[in-house]
Amino acid sequence: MSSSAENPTLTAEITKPSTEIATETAQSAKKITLKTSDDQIFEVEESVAMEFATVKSFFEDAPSSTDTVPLPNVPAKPFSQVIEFCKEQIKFKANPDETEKKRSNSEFVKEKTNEDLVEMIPVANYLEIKDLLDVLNQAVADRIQNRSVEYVRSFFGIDNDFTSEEEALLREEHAWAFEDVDED
Amino acid sequence: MSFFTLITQDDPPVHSESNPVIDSRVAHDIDGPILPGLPDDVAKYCLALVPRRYLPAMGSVCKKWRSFLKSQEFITVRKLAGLLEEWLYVLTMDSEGKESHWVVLDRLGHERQLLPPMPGPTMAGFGVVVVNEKLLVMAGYSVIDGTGTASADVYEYDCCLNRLF
Repeated sequence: MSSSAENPTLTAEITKPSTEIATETAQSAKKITLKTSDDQIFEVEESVAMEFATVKSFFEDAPSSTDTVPLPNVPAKPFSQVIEFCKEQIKFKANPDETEKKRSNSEFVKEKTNEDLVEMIPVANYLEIKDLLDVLNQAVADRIQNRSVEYVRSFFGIDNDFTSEEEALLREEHAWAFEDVDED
Repeated sequence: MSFFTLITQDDPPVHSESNPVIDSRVAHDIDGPILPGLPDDVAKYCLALVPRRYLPAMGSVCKKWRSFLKSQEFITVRKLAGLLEEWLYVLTMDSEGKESHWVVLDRLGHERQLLPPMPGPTMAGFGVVVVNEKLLVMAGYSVIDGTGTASADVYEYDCCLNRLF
């Protein structure tokens, strides 16, 4: 997947300042149709869809395509949250404000359940949305640190494959780490 | 009081045979992803973001995690992410060379933990060295009932999993 050979038209549209209202309106009319793995159809503004590197390169390979883009690895529920994130991100492309961007990102993450976060990571990964992937990974790492082993297992749906003997040994080993764990 | 100070990098890998129950089977023979539903490279990066002090608990989640946390690859991922944390290991002992224990300080000087006591009889006069990011305690002597015994033991400390082998 090459990002260097960007379609100049698309790039121009993405980086266009939002002050150009006339063009902005014309552009917003252009929608891209995406189909999720559970057969839901999403009509997404082109500028938002171009945040998905995977979709972007789909159009670079077939610029004139008007077909629905299938997203076989993307279920609708996390996808709608991913779109929500990308819509926010686009605002910061026009008016970069790192502080505000950080605030917006942490706000986005804060509202999400553990399940939401874990479901969004594979979607962000598949669609190659690096900013979102970074935000999600950090959010997950923040949520599992300082938690009990049992909490972490249930967070990810991981089965305990240690015997009770092994567990007793391990518990000894990280006993100090248990001293200040947060309530589950 | 005398003390040694040692700086270790993150989480040295350990190949130990002293704890076969837990450690012999952890390599690549465990099927399944590190995090269900995620490619391993993403999952590895995610785990690398967890601060060092919480890693012993993370190593108890499942065998796959434990195997990864002990690997050289984990250190590499943390290094690439700019997340290696340096900790200071200080060995303290009383004037008679007894009652020695290790204290771990993070880079802000906060005391993080006491290491588990070293196995075997109380030792004195041992050597300490960091090799390839492993903390090794070697030789020395112990006095039991007035009789001194020289030791040829070598212990290896796993900084990531807080275990002395």
